[in-house]
Amino acid sequence: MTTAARSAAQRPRRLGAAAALVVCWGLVACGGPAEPGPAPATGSTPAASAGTSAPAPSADSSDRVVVDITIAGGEVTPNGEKVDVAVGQEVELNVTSDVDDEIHAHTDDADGYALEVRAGVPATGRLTVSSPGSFEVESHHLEKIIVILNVR
Amino acid sequence: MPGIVPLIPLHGIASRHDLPLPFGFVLIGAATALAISFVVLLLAWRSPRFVAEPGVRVPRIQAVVDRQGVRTVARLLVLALFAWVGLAVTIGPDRLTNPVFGFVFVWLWVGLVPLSLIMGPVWRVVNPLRTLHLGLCRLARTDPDHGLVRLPARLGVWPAALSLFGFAWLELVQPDRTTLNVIRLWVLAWLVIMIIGAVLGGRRWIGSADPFEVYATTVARLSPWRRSADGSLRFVNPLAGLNASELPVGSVGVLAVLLGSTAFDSFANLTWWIQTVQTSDASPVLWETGGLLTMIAIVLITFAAASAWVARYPDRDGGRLRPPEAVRAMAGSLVPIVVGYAIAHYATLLIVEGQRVLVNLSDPLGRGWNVFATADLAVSTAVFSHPTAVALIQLCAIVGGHLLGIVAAHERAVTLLEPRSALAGQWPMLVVMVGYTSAGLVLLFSP
Repeated sequence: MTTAARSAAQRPRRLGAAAALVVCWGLVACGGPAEPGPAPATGSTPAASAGTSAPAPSADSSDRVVVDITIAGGEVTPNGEKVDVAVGQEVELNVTSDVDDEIHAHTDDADGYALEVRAGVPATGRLTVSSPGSFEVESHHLEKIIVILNVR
Repeated sequence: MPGIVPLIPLHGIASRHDLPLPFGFVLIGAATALAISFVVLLLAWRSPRFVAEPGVRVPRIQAVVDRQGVRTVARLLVLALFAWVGLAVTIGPDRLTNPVFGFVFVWLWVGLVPLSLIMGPVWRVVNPLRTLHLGLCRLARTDPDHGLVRLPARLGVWPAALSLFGFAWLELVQPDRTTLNVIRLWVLAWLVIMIIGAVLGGRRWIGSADPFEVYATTVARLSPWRRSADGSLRFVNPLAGLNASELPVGSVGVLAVLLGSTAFDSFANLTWWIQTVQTSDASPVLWETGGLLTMIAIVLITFAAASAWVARYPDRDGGRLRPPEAVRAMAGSLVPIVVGYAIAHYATLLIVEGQRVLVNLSDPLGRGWNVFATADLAVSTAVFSHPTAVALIQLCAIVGGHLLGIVAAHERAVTLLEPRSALAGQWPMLVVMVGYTSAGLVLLFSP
């Protein structure tokens, strides 16, 4: 009876250890391969920037990521898509809008960048993000998200 | 020709979000959660493992924390901090450097989780609403425990489920939530509802309705500190402490709001959702309110259904639980999952934006003050330079919360049900929890 009681008490403890091991193994296993290179490409290349250099995650940081932005009839294109950018890589925003607007890139802490756009006049702006993170680029007047920059 | 110019921070706390969780992490996390669940279900203990009154007494610590002077000083310090922030919200500038925004959305909302996890149910002691109410009662020479009416027992913490929904709505839906007038309105509503409610129903109302106290108290169930029935303070294994606590009526509502709203915070970042909302003619507020309610409803319905399933089987006395009793009894096992979600979503926010609150608190009125000598502190964003470490913390939080939740649910099931029925009674709960965990990971992957 005592042995039964003891083994009943020990069993969960061993199981707890086993479960902890499983977790640790899982973490180590995925922590390993993810470490050396940038994380696998998870975001999509926005359709709107097709034809420009695709922002491959392993891209040389001298390559520029070009995002062509159209604002027309209260809609934004691209529309909330994710764009992969390497740390230090330059991002070029080419904006055409049918109304006056301001494009905000909320990067780097609480600050960010603003690009003023006049109706019908194509505007170009470049920015560089110096540390990893996920940042929204939005139309300030429409309050719509154009792209989300995933900077790795 | 227009170019890009630096932007003065105008709106929004934390413009930087965590990177999507790498897909490999999602797979490993989900697989681990599934494996843990099977191990627990098939191999684990069949009789209750945790004793009814776990842990050891800690009389020396208790002597300190129960001393009236210590409590009074702690209460007054917290009250003074709130009064200071109250100054900022009343006559401070309408800028993000006003500390009220970070104080509410970061220190209070996010910070209460680690505080309660480490220090236990301290917020109930130092809650400025209680101090304020106590002061009013002293002035009026009335008993703080008794109001003008008696609150019905079945009220439980359901009012807090509502007020927490209100806060989640403010945090995730409210347009212009980081402008001063909007925050003023919410702070005023909170103060009025809580204080008038406490005058009417006694201070039990605060424990029943204050979103911050109920959140903090719920999380504190998973802390290593516990008060036993005789009032003695005990140092416990957090899981044993969680298992020994009887959660109040309505806790399932509170936990569903907490888990559902955190899930919605991630869900709203999906490209599919952004596109749907931005191309729709309906207002974003409508979409987001609907999305938030849907997430909460999914958690509430799935968890209640899986808990009610337990009531289908004979309990240890040969009887049957009523489904609401079963839901209440199982609710505690959601606590670790809620805490895991909260850590995974808000850890970097607390680490980085939490520092900024400290900086801004030195100058609440925007006049160049440096009251606490913190105004010139540099905010360290070093944590962002380690995205893999951040992703690992997120994964550990979600999977760890799942592990603890599964163990807690299993323990409850074998406590409630007669041994042969325990497995049959709890498998839907395991399925639901694997669902929460996988969903949490996929949402952090943010496709």
